[in-house]
Amino acid sequence: MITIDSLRIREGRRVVLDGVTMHLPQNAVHGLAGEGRSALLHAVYGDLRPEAGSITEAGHPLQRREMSLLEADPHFWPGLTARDCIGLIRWFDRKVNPEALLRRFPVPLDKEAATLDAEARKHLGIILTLMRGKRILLLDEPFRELKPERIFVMQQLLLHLGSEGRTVLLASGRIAPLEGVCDDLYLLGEGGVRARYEHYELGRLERSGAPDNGRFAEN
Amino acid sequence: MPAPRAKHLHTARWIRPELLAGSPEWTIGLRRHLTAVWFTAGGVVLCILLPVAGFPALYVAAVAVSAFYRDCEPLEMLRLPEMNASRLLVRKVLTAWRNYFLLSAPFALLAIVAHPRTAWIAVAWAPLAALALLYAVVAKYVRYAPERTSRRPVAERLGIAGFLIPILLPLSLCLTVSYALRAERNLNRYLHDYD
Repeated sequence: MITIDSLRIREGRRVVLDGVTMHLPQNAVHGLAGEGRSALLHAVYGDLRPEAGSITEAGHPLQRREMSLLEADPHFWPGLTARDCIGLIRWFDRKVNPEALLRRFPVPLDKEAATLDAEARKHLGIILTLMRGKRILLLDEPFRELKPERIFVMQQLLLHLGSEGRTVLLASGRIAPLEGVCDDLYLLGEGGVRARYEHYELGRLERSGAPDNGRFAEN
Repeated sequence: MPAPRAKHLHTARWIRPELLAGSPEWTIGLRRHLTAVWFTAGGVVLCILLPVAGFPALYVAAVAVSAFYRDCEPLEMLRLPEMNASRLLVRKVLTAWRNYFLLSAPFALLAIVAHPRTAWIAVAWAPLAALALLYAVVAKYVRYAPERTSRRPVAERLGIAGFLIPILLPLSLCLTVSYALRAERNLNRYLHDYD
């Protein structure tokens, strides 16, 4: 169980999140929507230092080596091809095999990763995040830039990841792709958790008209 | 129309990180400066024809390698080895030494074969080249900020010059020690989780 307890995150003078408390069971896919979702993911990953509160698992701080983060807009070091980026991960962990992911998310391997279009960069980001086999996956906008058929592939993959023992936290600005994928959804806003929905409530939530016509505030 | 950077990449895709001990700096550096690398290799061969000039030319090449360590990588790439700051710095330095000495070994052998009487210069060349590479690595990580290409401070440039101008060498040595300590502190901000 990942426990987020009374978390307060400040970006400059603005308090992005305040008093956020969540209990996230393992081996499940947890959705995050609303304002502050990206900040929360980065705080879990350790990139943002909370002003107050804690993020723990079984009473211990989360270890970054057990996590992998997919950025909303993945970016790469100019001069490296997609093949190089994958090769570098394989250099440090010989066991990983990107073949299955490459079939699901095709990427032009010999093009410079930094100059790929947004969709291909997203594909590469997904491959690099998932191929490392981390236990906790933090996915920021995993459906953004994907074509409808790839969104379906991603949904199937997320279901598979949740069932094989990974804990997935995914932040999304849209609810529609989360339906049938997430075990629960936390709706953030006004600095805290506005609501929590179970998986069977997501369809109803979307139909009943979520804030901003199914789209939540960015970030 | 492809950007110049992409063109370089197209012509030098055979340079792979796997061949360079997983070093993105060397991969990108060799690709971007491929023409300069070929000219350097040609220049070193010409210098080897002259007595005494071969090893100094190889040493200048080691100092020039600091150009590979100018840009800062994205944070995810820095964290890829999952090492703490000191271990990462050691790994980066060892990788730089490995790549440099492997690439320069044929030239060094040629210089020894061509002028056996000047082979003693290698005793000075190896440690000085190793020191120049160590300086290049630690100087980069002192000013490391994710994905930033910052202008090199004057002190850092003087430090590089010190490896070519003997009177400034003590400054370079002092800066190497200072940068090594500060680089570890700077990297700890990003890698403290990997202790």
